[in-house]
Amino acid sequence: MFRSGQRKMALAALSLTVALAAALMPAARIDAADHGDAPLTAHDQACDLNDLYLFLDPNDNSRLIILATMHGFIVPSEAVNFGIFDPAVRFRFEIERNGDSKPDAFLDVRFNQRVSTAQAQTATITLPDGRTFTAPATNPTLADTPPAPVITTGPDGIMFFAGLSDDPFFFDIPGFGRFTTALRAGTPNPDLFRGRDSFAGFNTLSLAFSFPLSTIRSASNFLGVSMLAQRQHKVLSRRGELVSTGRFYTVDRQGVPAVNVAVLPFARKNDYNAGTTQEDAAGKFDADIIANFQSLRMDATSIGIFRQLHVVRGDILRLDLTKPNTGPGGGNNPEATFPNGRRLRDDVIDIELTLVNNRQPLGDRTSTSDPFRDTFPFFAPPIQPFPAGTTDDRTRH
Amino acid sequence: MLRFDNRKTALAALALTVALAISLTPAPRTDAADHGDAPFIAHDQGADIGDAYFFLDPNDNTRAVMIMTFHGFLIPGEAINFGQFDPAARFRFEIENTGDAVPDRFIDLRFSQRTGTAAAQVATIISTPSGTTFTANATNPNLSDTPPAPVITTNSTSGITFFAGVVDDPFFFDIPAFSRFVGSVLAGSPNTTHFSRARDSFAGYNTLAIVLSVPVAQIRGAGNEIGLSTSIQRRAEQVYTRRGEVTGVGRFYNVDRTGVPAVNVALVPFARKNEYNASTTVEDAAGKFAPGIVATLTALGTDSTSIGILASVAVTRGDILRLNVTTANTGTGGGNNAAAAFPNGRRLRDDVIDTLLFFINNRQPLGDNVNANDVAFRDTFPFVAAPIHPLPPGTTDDRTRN
Repeated sequence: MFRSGQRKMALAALSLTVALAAALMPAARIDAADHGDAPLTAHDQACDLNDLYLFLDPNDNSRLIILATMHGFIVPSEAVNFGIFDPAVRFRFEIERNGDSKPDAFLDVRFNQRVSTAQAQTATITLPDGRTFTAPATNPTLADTPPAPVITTGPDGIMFFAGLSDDPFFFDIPGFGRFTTALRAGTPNPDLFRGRDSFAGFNTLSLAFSFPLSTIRSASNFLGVSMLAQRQHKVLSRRGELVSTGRFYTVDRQGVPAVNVAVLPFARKNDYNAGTTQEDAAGKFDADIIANFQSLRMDATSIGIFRQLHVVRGDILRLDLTKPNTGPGGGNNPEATFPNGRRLRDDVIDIELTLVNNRQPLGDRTSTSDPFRDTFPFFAPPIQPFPAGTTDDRTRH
Repeated sequence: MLRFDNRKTALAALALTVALAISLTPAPRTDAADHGDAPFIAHDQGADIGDAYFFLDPNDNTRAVMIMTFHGFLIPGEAINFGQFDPAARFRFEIENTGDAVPDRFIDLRFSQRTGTAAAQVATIISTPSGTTFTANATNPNLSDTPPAPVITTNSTSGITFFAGVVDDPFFFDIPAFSRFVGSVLAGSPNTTHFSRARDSFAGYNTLAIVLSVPVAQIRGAGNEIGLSTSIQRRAEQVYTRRGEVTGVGRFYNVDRTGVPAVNVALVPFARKNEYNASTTVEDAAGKFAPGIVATLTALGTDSTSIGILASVAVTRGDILRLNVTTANTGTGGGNNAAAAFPNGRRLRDDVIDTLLFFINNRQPLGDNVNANDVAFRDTFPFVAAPIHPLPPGTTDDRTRN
């Protein structure tokens, strides 16, 4: 067993997590989010999902917030060139609300082809009941100050936002890589965590929904969400056009943070992304996942907790709708922390590392200082170009 | 007319450039390189070319060095996840050696499917029409404090020396300032003070790169000039499977191309950027994009003399970087003698943006005040600088200039 990292919040969150875990429920994955999780998505960043968040609006617990990020590591100066949504991709939220691994409803988002850099893309949202509405994305700019988020209210009071945001995830990737290597070699050393947030100073594309709970929940007190980025077969033309045809295939998916990045063996990462939550539950990836956990020297209890979270009922983020969420920046009361859904401020890595560390406190020594909004869409605004002479020390490579 | 700013090297480069231009040859493009130049490529970073470079090895002028950078804005913490070559793509160096717009030879590269993070990808290099084929390892990325030593392979049959891996992005340019300046010009009130930002948008980021050194004798034609254009291609159809595989079927199409820096990024209208990437240098010369390019320059207030010069570089004989192999290249970091500066090929240290701005500004000096890369280039092959690596705890990380 290695020595524990220190931070207080982590400990508070931890005791809570362990309690939850003991009570049979979820618990987390090994590490990071989902950025660049598989060979295919490394070459297809428009389809590269990063993180999924699911929580009750702390200002009104009768509303459900779903946030998602994709195409990370967009630098401020390239906001106009890269800060656009791929019109060939279908972003799909799978809603699970009767406690099994099978999605019960779908929420789809598509974007139109961009016509110029001055004009926002238009999103078309297809609700679970088939109704659709359109909403403009927030158009990126290279100005000193970020554009105000464009929020559209659709049918039934459903709210939508799409645009660039400061990447809300915080995690020390090299620290984690070095730590797990040492752990597998039998010489774990928490000092290998450098306390540097690899995501600091970068923007990402982001989507946000706020639903009146009554419009999306079932009779159950639990609601689960998994997210997909899907493409059709692509056909290129000599005119530089790209035509998509046929059925949609899943290129990336994301539920519980870090499953594919950290737990699946390299050779199965593409396969995992293309898999379904029902295949998870049927054990398609279970043997590889268990083998990887064992190589990290995890005991049967921690392995069992993780499997409950993303194998037994599929890789789905699940939220208890009866648990109050309160606090700034999307909420921070310990009772409602991950793995009860996931909030922007939840230190999911430390919670997961503690489980990896057989329930002894362990953390990556990074925490968030992002200025999350207190109201919808909760994401912090994107980082914009700086004035002349400014020291630009926001990244933590 | 816009007021000019100072810098000495820019002026030196300029004088030279003007001399060259007047003697009829090339001269450059509007701005930036080629990163994220079109809507499709913004969604396909694995095939997104950053820059092409073409110069004589300053240590041995009988060899020509060709560099293609692509998949920019890789960060040190994600070197392992993103620092890999797309096995579905074909990376192509087009060589033109008869003075027209038709490529005469190709050097094509493909990479193996990655089998694990610990094993380097294997490149297959095919030089045509001679038909030489050889394989060589890429330099495998890692997350340690120090960058891996570049793995350099020389094929004895073809004489080609090869490197591929993650490197510091060699391009230097202030994107927001350029965009704001252009905005002010288009609004009728040109404001060069936007360039007082002097911030290199590419500082602090890595990119993928392929570097080749080829004997000049092997690629030159009857004349003294050799042209280079680079492209990344994908097959006509990409077919997905339920197991998360993608299979390419059919012939290869250009997904991105670049020759002269910044043509597509800065001069081609938004609606035609995808098409430009998919097209050929022969189509350039046939005037397929000439009206849009001329319209952009005219809107920028560029006069007919400068438009003519710029067209001669990037349109009349295709968007091809052209190098006079009798012009000696000397100096550090891939060469820096004024006589061999862009638009005679392009070297890593050449401030191509200032040269291009000079022409756009009707041959009055103008620059973006970003004059050099943030780190020094190597003096020998592969010339590009080592990638930035994760920093130790407590280190201030102030290398980016957003």
